[in-house]
Amino acid sequence: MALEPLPKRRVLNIEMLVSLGALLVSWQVASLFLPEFVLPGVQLIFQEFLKMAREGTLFSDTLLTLYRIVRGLIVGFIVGAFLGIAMGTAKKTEHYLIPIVNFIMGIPALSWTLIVILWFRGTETRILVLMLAISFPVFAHSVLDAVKGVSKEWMEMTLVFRPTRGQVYRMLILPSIIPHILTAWKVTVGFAVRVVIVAELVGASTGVGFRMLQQQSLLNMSGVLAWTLVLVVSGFGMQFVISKMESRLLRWRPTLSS
Amino acid sequence: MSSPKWNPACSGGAPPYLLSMPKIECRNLTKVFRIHGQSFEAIKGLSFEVAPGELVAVVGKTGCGKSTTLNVLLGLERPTHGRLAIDGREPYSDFDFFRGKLSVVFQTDRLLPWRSVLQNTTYGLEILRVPQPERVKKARYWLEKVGLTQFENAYPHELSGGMRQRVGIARAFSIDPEVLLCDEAFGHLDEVTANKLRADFLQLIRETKKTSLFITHDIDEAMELGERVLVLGRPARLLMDVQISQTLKEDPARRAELKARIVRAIESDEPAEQG
Repeated sequence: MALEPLPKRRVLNIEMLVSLGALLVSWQVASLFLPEFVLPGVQLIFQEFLKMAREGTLFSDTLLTLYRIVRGLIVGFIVGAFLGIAMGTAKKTEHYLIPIVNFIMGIPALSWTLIVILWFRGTETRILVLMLAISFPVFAHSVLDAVKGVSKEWMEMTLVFRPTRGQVYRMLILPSIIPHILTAWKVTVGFAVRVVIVAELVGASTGVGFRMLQQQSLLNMSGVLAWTLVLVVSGFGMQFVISKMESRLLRWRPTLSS
Repeated sequence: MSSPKWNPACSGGAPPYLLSMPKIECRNLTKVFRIHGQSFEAIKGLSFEVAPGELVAVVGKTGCGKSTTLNVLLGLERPTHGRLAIDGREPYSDFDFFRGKLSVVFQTDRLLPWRSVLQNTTYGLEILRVPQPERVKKARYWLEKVGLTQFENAYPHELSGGMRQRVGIARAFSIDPEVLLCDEAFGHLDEVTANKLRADFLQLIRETKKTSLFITHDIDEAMELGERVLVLGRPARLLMDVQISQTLKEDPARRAELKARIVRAIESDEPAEQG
């Protein structure tokens, strides 16, 4: 069938450049009237970036923080997806497990940060457990809902062919829950960035959070802002990767514009 | 075995169901659901037989238990009483025996949106572990039969309702089932599309000589498609069992007369006088 190709949406468009440019200009103007430790000029923040790049911390600490997030979320996802599928396919398991999952989900991320510091030794272990603790309940819940939402009609259609259990999971359940899994990742990544920074601030000697704390204790506002920008951009970067995966994995989906 | 096997060479045009073991045998089938503590009878003592290769239409009011009967046939529901057997085996208790033996064309297409037309057609073959080249070959054959060859890479949302139903038909035929079931398969399509699809479908059934059960609420459709029509009451039980000969199909007066009898039987919910 001759389908019209959709107009390609560009990541950078004129409107976006205008609004970001306006923000930059007003920042620069405001910085002329405010002391440097409150609102440093754009050029100072840029110089800070150059310094961070020269010292190597810009790349090593950013990559380390990203690595901690991704590693923790992958472990959290494996645990959460396993629990979600178990709960979604056996009603009894759900009744037993859901109170525990909800209880863990109710514990604030900040409490977890303090708990893992008291429970575990070593920065990496602490952050891994923290990421696991904050992410797996979210993944478990979204996978559970997704599995429960697998269309009964498709299930009947599939059962008529008499599939094995494995085939039902692989050919029906897994493809139906992928959209929900990707949404869960998007939500969790944003959350994880915020939590990992706090963890690094409190209990690490490496990573973006630690660098920010360092700059703050030196009263270097440009440094704090430069690292903050790194975080914002990293967050966008991860969301972008997930969106790319989404459009690849879900290319079968009808789009609103088509 | 004492009962003779039907031999097409010497049957002399006698209806096959008189000469052979039934393909589908339904004896006193009853299905009771419990909804909010209340019992609800969907099927009440339904009995009928279908001979191998027969094309039977089942007609009845909406909500008369037709779909429940279909689900029992598919092994998705367990009968409360009575027995329903295909080839002497019960689809629910002998679930895995029916691997690759049954196909359905549902009321809605039930295509998987993440699979292309070709991949939807190979779905059943994939479950039956038919090797990749062979299943693509079979799927393409059936897509050609339903006239969708050039759409094999399209996704379901890119097709019209009629085209999607055609993919559903190709998917059902692709596994070469022994029994083909249809549940209001053309009910939600516009009349022109439905007529065309009905004719094509009938052609495929005749070519493949599959034992088929066609469930519908449309009396005209039942008389058009079926070689025999079973009329169900509500709850589902047999009110009428009529042979539809080719001469009857071509005689508007007799058709109208039969339709009136079927309508009367359904309305009164009483077994009709045989005539």
